[in-house]
Amino acid sequence: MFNDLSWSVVLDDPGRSFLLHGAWVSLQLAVLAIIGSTVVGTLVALGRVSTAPALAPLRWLLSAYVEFFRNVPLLVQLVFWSFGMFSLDLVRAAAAPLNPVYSNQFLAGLLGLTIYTSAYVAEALRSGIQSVPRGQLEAARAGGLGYWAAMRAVVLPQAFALAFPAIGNQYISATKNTSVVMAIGVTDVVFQAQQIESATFAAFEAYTAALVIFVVICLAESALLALVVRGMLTRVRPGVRTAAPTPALES
Amino acid sequence: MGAITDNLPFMLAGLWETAKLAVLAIVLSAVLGVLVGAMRSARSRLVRWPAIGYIQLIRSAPLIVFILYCYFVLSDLGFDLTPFWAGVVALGVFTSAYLAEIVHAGIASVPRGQWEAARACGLSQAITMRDVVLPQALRRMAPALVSEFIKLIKDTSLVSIIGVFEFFHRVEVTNSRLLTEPFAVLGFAAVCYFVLNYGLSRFARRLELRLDA
Amino acid sequence: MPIIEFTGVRKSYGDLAVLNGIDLSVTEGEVVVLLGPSGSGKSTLLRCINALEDVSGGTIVVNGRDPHDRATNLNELRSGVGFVFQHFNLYPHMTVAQNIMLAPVRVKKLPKDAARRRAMALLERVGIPEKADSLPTQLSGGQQQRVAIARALAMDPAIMLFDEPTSALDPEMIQEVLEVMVDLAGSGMTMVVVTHEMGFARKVADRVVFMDAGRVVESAAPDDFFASPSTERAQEFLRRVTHI
Repeated sequence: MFNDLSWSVVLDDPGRSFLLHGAWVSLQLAVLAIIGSTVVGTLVALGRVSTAPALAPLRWLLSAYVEFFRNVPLLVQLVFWSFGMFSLDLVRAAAAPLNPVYSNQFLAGLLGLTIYTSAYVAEALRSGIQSVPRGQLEAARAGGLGYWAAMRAVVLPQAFALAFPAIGNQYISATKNTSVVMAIGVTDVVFQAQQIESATFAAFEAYTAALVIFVVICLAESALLALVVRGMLTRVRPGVRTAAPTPALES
Repeated sequence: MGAITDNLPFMLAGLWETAKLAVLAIVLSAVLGVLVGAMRSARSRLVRWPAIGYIQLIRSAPLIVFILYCYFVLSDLGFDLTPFWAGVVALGVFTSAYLAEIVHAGIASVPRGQWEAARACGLSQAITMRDVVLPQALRRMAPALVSEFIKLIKDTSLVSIIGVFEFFHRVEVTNSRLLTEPFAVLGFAAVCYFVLNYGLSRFARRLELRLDA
Repeated sequence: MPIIEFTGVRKSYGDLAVLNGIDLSVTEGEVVVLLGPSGSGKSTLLRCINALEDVSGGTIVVNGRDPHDRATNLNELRSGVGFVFQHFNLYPHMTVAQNIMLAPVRVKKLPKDAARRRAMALLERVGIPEKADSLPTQLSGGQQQRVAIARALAMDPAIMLFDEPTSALDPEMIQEVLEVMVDLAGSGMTMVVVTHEMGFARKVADRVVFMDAGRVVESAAPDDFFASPSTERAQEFLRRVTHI
């Protein structure tokens, strides 16, 4: 087959515009899931490091959240959101205003990916918070700042800097994981590659194109993250040199 | 409840398939991972660079693309693999790249003095690696290895897209046959995976504690 | 009228009793130095004053309020008590000036420019105004501790607490920190200081409190204490710290 490659199926239209459209869908999913999982993951991490005795049930619930969503395959979760939750009229009605822009499959995929990634982000950030020396919180509290004010102004900025290499790896994993949404019918890069493959039987060309698109996105992303990490760490721990996230290393 | 009990034998048969997939892929990934990880740690560039290429290339691919690749492209090349074996190869090779990085980091964490002591006794590089360094490294990396294996078990669900009739594929078939019970059926699948993986991680943690003691 | 008053204060971690019924009062403007072997409970006692530690029994009154009463607004109470840590605990992601401005801006809602002016005045007072825009890690240990003192002073506290402020410093930097503290004592600040600097205790303290095994063993004017400690434990302690 290698002397008979037909790259035109991916380099010329309609294949090319299929793939570019797919890349745009994948990119949106990745960016939105990264933002969403950072917000949710931060809240979960903050809840888990709380110490108030009254919040014990919340801590238990959040640790169950993290363990559950990390131990169930992403595909199972995506199918659950898509064929479970989005089969309910109530959910469909709630999503209806967004439908002109995003399909229900896309929204289900985004929801699933966000929650799945948030569990990992929460764990990374929690260990970041725990590696900020206790004296930092004490110093801020001694100055009269309340717990949340001290967390926000003093502990979290340092925790984010310390955890960012690990969180960055989760971002890259999330970007690669966007490809799983093709299994619930979202028209991402891989979905489009599969369309091309089934129309032309040019499997090698179609999937290589999808692969190249992912490699380019992930390399650009890790270069960007490396810059952020360097900026953050020189601020917080000028002595520390940490390896930049590579396009992998998920845990 | 009936939705699950009526289809239990059908779905559980897939669990056996999932177990076979996982075990075979874990064995394959462990063999390749240790080999590539040791190569990655070698002094010679001739040995090291191919290992780095292997690791970087595979780790920049999404698994689902890798699975499709192994299935379609390998068969185009004349390797006529069944979906099951294509799945084993895809999962095993994919995970081996992640294991290789862990093995490499584990080897790097063994103090230089261990190398020097073994080499000073006249042991060859390969023997030193196999008998002195790797056993120490493997113990340090046990937690990271277990979490890769758990990831692999979760990832077995993805080979359903090339038609392997493993557990989750059967769950999906059940779900689309019934159409009315997505929460019960999919919830059942989630609980199965959770019990398996969470149980495994707890077991590994207890083992680790015992090793440390 | 004492500004700090301990009555029968106890504290334990499980079976380990750290404070064993402490009675102690500090009057306004007084400089009290806490001495004692390590593990005697000095630091714990200090940390109870602004509720960095809980107590297991007894009562404490600081500035007319009980830091361990649930009804007390802790943030408000702490604003009136400055605390200087052994390891400085400067915020590494903020400049020196930002370190000092954080509490005034966030707690007292002071406008930023006013807080900045105040921070500059305090840095002037501790002798390093040129370091305002440096990061803490660019400073020597002695400079960091002087910044930490300025940060504690920024809230205009009525009381300053020092927890072994010179123990983490190289010997040549101890003096510059002690000078700032001497100056502060001279200005009439109420101070409670845990330290091993006998010279400072002798020269600056109004009263020396000697602790051992979670109790106040002796409380006396420094001249009396150093000349003729009345308890055997204090004699033993002084023999050891003076190396003779």
